Amino acid sequence: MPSANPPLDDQLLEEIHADQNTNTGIENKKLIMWLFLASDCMFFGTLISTHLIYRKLYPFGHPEEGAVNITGTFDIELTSFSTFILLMSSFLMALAVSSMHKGAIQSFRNYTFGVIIFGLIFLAGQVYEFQHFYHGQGWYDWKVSSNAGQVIVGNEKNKLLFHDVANTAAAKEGFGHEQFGLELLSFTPAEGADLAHPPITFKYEVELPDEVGNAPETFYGEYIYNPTDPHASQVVVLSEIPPPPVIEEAKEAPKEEASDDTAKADSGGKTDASEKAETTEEAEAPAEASETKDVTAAQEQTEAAEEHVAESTEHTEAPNEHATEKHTEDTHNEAHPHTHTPAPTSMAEVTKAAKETFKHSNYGFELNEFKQVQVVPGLDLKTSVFGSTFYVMTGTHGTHVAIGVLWLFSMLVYSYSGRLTPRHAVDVEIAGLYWHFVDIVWIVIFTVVYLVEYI
Amino acid sequence: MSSATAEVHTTHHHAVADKTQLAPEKSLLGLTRPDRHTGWIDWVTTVDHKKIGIMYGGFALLFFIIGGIEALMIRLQLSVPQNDLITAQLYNQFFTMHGTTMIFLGVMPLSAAFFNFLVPLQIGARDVAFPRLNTFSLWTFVAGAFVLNISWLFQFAHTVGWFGQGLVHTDMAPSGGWFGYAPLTGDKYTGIGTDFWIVGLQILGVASLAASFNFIVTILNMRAPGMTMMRLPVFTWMTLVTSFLIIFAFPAITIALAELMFDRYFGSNFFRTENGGQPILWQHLFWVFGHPEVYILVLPAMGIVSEILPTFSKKPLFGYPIIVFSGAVIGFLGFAVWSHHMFTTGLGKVATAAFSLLTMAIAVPTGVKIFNWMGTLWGGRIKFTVPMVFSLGFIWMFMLGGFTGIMHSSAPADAQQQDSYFVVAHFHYVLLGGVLLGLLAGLYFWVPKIFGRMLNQKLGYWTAFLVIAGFNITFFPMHYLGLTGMPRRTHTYLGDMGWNLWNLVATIGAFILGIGVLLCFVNIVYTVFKGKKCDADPWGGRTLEWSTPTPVPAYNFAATPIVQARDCFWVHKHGDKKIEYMPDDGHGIHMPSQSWFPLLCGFGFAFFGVSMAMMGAGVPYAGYCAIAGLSAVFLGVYLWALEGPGGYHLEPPHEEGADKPHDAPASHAAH
Amino acid sequence: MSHATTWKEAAILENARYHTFFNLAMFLAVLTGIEIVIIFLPWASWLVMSMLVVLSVIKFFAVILWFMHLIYDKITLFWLFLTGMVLATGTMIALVALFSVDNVDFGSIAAVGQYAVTALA
Repeated sequence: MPSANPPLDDQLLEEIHADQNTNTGIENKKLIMWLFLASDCMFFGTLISTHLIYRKLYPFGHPEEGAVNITGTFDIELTSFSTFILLMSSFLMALAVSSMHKGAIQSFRNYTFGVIIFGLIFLAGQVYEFQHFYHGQGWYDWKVSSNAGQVIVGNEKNKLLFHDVANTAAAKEGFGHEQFGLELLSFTPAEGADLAHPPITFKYEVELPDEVGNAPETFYGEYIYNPTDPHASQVVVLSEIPPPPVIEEAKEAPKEEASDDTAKADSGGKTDASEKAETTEEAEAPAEASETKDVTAAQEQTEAAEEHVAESTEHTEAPNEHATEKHTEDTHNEAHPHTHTPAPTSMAEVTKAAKETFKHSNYGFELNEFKQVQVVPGLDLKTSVFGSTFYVMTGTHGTHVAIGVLWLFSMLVYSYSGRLTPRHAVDVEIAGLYWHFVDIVWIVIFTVVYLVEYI
Repeated sequence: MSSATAEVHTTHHHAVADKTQLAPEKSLLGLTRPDRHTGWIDWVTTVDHKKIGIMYGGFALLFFIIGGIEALMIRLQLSVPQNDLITAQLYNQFFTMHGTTMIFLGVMPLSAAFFNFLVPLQIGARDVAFPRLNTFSLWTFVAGAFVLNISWLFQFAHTVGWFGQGLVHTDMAPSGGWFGYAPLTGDKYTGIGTDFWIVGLQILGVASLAASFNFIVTILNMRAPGMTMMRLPVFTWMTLVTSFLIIFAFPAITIALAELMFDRYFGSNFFRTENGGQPILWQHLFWVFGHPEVYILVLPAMGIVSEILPTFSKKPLFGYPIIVFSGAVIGFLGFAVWSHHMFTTGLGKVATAAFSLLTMAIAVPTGVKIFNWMGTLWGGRIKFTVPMVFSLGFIWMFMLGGFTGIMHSSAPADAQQQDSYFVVAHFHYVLLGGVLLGLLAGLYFWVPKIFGRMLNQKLGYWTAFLVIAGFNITFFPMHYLGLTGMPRRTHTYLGDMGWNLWNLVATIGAFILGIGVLLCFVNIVYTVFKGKKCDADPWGGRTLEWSTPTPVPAYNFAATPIVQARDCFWVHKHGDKKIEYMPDDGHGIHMPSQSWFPLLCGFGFAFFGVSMAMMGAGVPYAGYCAIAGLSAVFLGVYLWALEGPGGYHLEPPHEEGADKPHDAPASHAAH
Repeated sequence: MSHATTWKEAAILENARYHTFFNLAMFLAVLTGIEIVIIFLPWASWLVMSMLVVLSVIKFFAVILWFMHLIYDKITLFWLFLTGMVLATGTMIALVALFSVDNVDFGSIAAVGQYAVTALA
């Protein structure tokens, strides 16, 4: 094993100079690296030419307009940031090489570490950028309502919640999984909730984020959780926003909403609402529900809200409801076979499980409308020429950066183990040449691919 | 020698006379270096440029035979009209593989064989600048050749029903022509045959690039003292220009192939017309590579001829600086003429005129070279040895090919000739009449130095006769066939077009040519093992390689020569400036260590290549295999970087004069 | 490195270069900033384009000459790299020019491709 950091004496200097005893006075490694870079110029030049040719042929990035929205897709702030990062990494690399030339190993290590970090930041930026480009952007109008009649409508401000997905189905899915932007503020067992006497009632508070428009901020109510069949749990909304409609209308309203719930079939949580909607016998159900509700606090609101509950707890069904109920159960059985969870052993466990299913029920809300109003199409290798040239070009560049990072990392490691010493300044120099080349290619790509689109 | 090796010498022992006497030495990775071996381990781990050259040559000759068989199949199919010897698809595969094999697996490696063996010797160096990189080039080339040709096996397997029965496209071997025009080579029209072709060529590209970087550094940096650039043998100069051509031309095809690969595997739109891809882009990118490629093919042969003519005229090369300069100009201008392959694609008036003029211009330096060669011969004491006969054949036949090339340079004329047999005639004249004759000349010239045995000269003359006659009989009629309208790349033709006779004649000529080539290879194989031994300088050579003993010792020169003139060995023998030698410093001669890792890289590439094609065929897990193959390549490179250059010392024999050049007068011709 | 004969000299040389590198890095950052700004200004597009090209070329050569040391190295390297650059740039310009011809309707090629996919599939 070579000695770590040999003394900086004349003999070392002589050995280093001996490498330059070539006909041209240039070390072999340095010469081959410059030749490689000259060849790589042609390599990237061809790629960039392909891109330029297709840009010239198709001003829209594709033969047909609409497949691509280039300036809409690009995020010039991020890319500019990445450019500065790479530029600074280049600076640090020059300093690393410089340090090695004067034998300052620790400085070399510090600067190389800096280059690696900046390189990784650049790569992370590329990955992030590509993800966003790929998903495109969509702005959506949406309407969410609860069976209690509360309605939340998407507006200018909260459209932003789903701006990063250009695909309506995917955005809708994501929206659902984000519980329509609602947040659970608190979820606690109600007084007198008893593990031994299921179902267990929890009290909850659900909030809308600040930016959301015309609906008040907080909803609260109860969640009656059935540990043995969580999907049969029910939500009781107690907060009055807007004022609850008349009882009779409320009974009809859920049925109408059933037909709107096309998105619910595969989401277990949402079947609670459909189950609620299916029931025709509200009269019986509230009676049964009220048994459990007797245990809860806020009696007045409970009375008022009783009518709003549409439920389908298995063991409370009247025989003639079986037809519709069964259908509901069957549909939700297909999606979610009865999960007979083992008997909970602690309130904490039950709370956790209940919270999960409550979340999946979207806190009792359902999605009525979801419509795309504006889109920047996702940029994809397959759907447009611009996508093809863009990803292959920047991907090739990114691969070069990644290889550079690996190389520098190896050098950093070996500078600690003693394999890389000032004797090997030329090895550091050629890594530096490679890194700087990668930077100048980025300079060209940034200008020619990103900046010119904005002119 | 590679630089930056000093730090590992602390473990070295005394110089040994023979490396089998070396004690086992561990590399910086803790693995034993394969330095001491003989036999097959020695050959697969060698970093010796001479052995590498021999292996390149061996593979090249093998692929010449394979390519030749493919050619004979083509000619057999075309011997009579409406022949049904082979199907149209198989015919396409034969002409594709014939072209690809001959160019990438025949001519280029044979040229590489000469580069490898001769360049260090001609510049007075012990080896190339990066010996392990050289080995890497060799094994990567072998991997690429393997990937390309294993496709035949898959085609056979498919035909007998063992493989790929459910695939939409039934071509398992490449069938898109050696130029692979997209979108025909896209996934809509061809199957895994094209995948083999793409990946095979990419691998070959890596091999060529690596070798070229190595040679440029070697030639620029490792010349013996006194060997200025203008004293270099012309062959070395042509190697330098060719290497520059390779490093600037191959990136274009690398990108074109990569774009096609993305189209096929990932659905991108580079050449997908329904989404806006432009087929003409492929043509441009390919020919930006393709045109310099043909100069890559011919310049080494020109270099060889430039060595042989002076030797057998007993005169220095006429106009050396002009020949060198012309070579460089041909190389440079070679990048500016690519669209002359595309005159009929609708480039527009300005572009067509520009490329037409540039193509005419490139004939000028070529013509200058021919005049200089004539000038070399003029007034010389010409000896019609076999190499000389081949070289003279080169001048004449290449000129004929050049004339038809000039005819192509006129765009209106080319409009008639494009895609007809006239083009086939043109490029076979320059490739066979030019490149092949030059390479055969080189073989006959240098085999005595490489193997220490003289090739049978009688067989040599017969080869020359059969090859030259055969190839003329084959390809001269094609000028007529082309001008009367016979199109290229069609597997048959109707019997009433007036082409029957000359197609038959061409086929007969092809077989004569084949016999000639076979004779040559029989000669070589026999000679390598049982040929008549000869001395170190059988021809009266002019350049440094002839000053070494035969067989050439591992270290080339016991002491580094100090060069004082051009054609320094001739001058040493017949003139007043003797070659002097650097004094012995007593440390022995430093030799580079051998390595397993370039071989690992070769295996990795081969595995990667076949896996990629299997991925195209839908074989499960093939993608992972491809990644594994590439990882093996990266691992090989990484470990090779980590093992350190190593090195050992050899002691040259100390008998006086044993390693020094003969002072004898001009040698008698062998045999 | 080729100029220094002792480690002390090397240190002095490299330390002097620190300032050069720092100033250069700032210079490059400023140029990049200018580029980003001018694309949003309401100037004629040919003017902005030309400025972008000029600024990029300046940045390119600045990195090559100083960060990549070429100005401190042997001139051979400069010519070697320049050859590659000239060839690459020349090829790029030629390729783009070739696709800028008026007499070829590249768009209809796509239309034919579409037709081939839909009608003939």
